[in-house]
Amino acid sequence: MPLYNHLKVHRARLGLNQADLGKLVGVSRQTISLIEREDYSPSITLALKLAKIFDCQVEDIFEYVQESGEDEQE
Amino acid sequence: MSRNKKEKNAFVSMGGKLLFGAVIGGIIGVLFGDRKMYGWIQSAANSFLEMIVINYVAVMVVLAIAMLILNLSCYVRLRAYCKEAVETDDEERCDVLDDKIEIITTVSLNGNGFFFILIFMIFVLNYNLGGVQGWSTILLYFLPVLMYPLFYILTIGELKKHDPSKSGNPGSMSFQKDWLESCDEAEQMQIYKLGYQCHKGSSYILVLGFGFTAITALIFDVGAFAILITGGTWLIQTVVSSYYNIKYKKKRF
Repeated sequence: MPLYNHLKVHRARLGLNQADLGKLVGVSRQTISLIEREDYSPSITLALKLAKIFDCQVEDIFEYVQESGEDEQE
Repeated sequence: MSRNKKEKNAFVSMGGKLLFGAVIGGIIGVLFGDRKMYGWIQSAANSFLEMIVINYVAVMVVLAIAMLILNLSCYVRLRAYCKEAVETDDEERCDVLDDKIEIITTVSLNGNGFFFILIFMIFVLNYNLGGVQGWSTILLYFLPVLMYPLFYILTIGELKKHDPSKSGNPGSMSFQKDWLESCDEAEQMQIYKLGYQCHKGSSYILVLGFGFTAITALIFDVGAFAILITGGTWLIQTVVSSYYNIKYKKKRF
């Protein structure tokens, strides 16, 4: 699923490491790393928690990009 | 392709596979039906089992040493990786260490289980085939078997030190449930995917196991019990799977 994110940028803005951010949102450091590497798409609950921590919208952190195959099907 | 045509193709494909399996089974039944012709297979198998029983002490000692080496080496590496993961600030290095910790944990716990099952099988075979009796055989069984919970508990302890959010007592009956509940969403998703793959794999293994038992029952004088056991296990797995299918359809997740 093509879900790009700017988690690292927002995390750097607040000066948090992965472990600290994980503790704030209730997940492990590995999960934060998986999200940043785009190997895992978080749940809506987790995305909203992250948005609240960073004081921004979910769309400012995560970006859904349609794949070319989906365009042709439409 | 229309939906009706797809469904027709699926029916033909599935029916064809079942028919093919039946034909193969029939051919094997005709080929192996004459036990006298294939008696050499049974003698070879019996010789192999007798060799294990005669060399029971040596086999058990070798397995116990191999189990100890595997457990010790995995535990030492796991401790080293966990210690480094705590001390390092480099996030990329942490990712590499987390992957290594996962692999070592898998090898350790599953390897431990593999040896446990093997040792258990040989212990039972020894008694079944009238091999070495007495306290020495029981000791040779219990000493390596005690390794299984020891290293299991040590490994889980290291994992809990590495990630203090994890909970669960390995000695408790609810350990798997407690551990799963302490995992975060990504870890739970990984466990669910793994669980599904195991279910799929075990379904195939049970079907093939039943087929294999039915065929080998033609060659070996095992009686109907082996077929009842494998067939019964397949049935129980199907019933249990159906039960949880219905149960989890009603649950919120």
